Amino acid sequence: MTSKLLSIDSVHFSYGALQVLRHLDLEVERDEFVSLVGPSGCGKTTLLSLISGHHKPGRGEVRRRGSMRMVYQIDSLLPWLTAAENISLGLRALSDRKQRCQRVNEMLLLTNLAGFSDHFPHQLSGGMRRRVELARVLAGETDLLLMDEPFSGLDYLTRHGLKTELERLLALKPRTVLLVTHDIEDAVYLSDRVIVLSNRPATIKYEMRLQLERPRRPADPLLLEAKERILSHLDLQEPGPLASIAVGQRAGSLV
Amino acid sequence: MKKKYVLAPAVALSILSLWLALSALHIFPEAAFPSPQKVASGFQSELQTRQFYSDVAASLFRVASGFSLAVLLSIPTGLWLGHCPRARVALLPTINFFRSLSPLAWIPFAILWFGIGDPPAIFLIFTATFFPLVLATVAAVANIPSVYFKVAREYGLEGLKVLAQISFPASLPQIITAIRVAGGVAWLVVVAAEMIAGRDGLGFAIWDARNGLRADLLVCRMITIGVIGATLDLLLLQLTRMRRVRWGYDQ
Repeated sequence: MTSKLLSIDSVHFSYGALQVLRHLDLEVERDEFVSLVGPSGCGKTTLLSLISGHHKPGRGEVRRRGSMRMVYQIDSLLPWLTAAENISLGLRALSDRKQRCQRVNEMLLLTNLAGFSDHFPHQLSGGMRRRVELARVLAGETDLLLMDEPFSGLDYLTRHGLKTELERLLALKPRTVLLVTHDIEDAVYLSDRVIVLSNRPATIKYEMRLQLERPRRPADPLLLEAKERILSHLDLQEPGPLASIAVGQRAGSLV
Repeated sequence: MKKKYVLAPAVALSILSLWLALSALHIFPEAAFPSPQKVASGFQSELQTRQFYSDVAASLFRVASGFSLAVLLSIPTGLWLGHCPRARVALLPTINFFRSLSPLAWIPFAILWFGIGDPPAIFLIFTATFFPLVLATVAAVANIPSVYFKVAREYGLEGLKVLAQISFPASLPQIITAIRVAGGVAWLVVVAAEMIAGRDGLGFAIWDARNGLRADLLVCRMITIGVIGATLDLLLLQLTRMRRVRWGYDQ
């Protein structure tokens, strides 16, 4: 049994005449946190749709093992269910009612939503709704989590709170995560590996492994270096002097 | 909030005073424009007859039967059509045809097929409300964000469970709005049905008052129909207060 949970083998994909992905190879290990960054409209969300099975690749192969859940770019909580009931949806595999109730309460506690179990999504703030979504995907046993811009549309403090919460939850219960984001700060803060996609038709342009201790500090100079290096590969700014990047410095390294 | 309790009665009182003034001036003949006093005394005697209550009961029974039948059958039909493109292509034009057909056009056939009394009225109420409710349900299903179905799939919901646990609750707020509209239509139709195909009920009572040249009773019965219709809508409005549909109206 290999530890590869997901492997994408020279995948091509087009919407009609519009080629979106070309020759894309990617393998994700169990419990690895991988971020995909790239210019807007380059096909990041399309790649997630291929992985989730909502689209089929034109050429190549997507192999996924185990179960998969997704955090969507848009609100996907069911509005007619309370926060607790939405989370409970993530625990449908548990047939024992009492056990399920207990797990829901655990998740509510973990996501700081204890007093809000009977609130409906429209009675919660944007940040709280995102936390319920995280609780729902993280409740129960899922092998692969796909996250499509899960922090978009939130203010800086809420984003930061959610990121630390996600990190904490994953530390308690490791999962394989594939995060699509346009925010490089989110990517370097959370990931074991960041993948930079090129402009459409997208292919992998650059890959960076981040073996830094957790919890990370957003102001860590190594993170800032990593961010700068990724930015340089996104053609957004002039490449900085790469020689100054410290490899293997302190507890972590950028490879 | 408080204005509601002042403004609405003020309007009603103004209409009443206008009516009082017009009838005091004897601009119109008494037989065609009864005075409020005469209507009030007519109401008093009306409320003491057994016929009045049995008319109200007959009309309410017909609306309740025809309309509940339409609601119960139209929602599953609409949900099914909403999910089955082939059935939609096949059936929607026909449903649209019947929706556009005035229920009053059915009256002759209703009498030929069902005679006089409850059955023709129930049939007419059903035909008047079933088709619009089906179309409203189909439209509500079409408006459900596709992400809910993706979530359903990821969390292992399949087949009828998707219909019961996703499509139905997701379209319920819109369906309830359609039910309110259709409820109003049902109350309109029962009066017309009873006027022609009835021997009792409020619609028949209207016709009866006209035949007896009792304009005062005619107004009594019109007021009764209006008050009951408004009350029915108020009752149906309570459906929108349910916890699980509030999200559909609060935005």
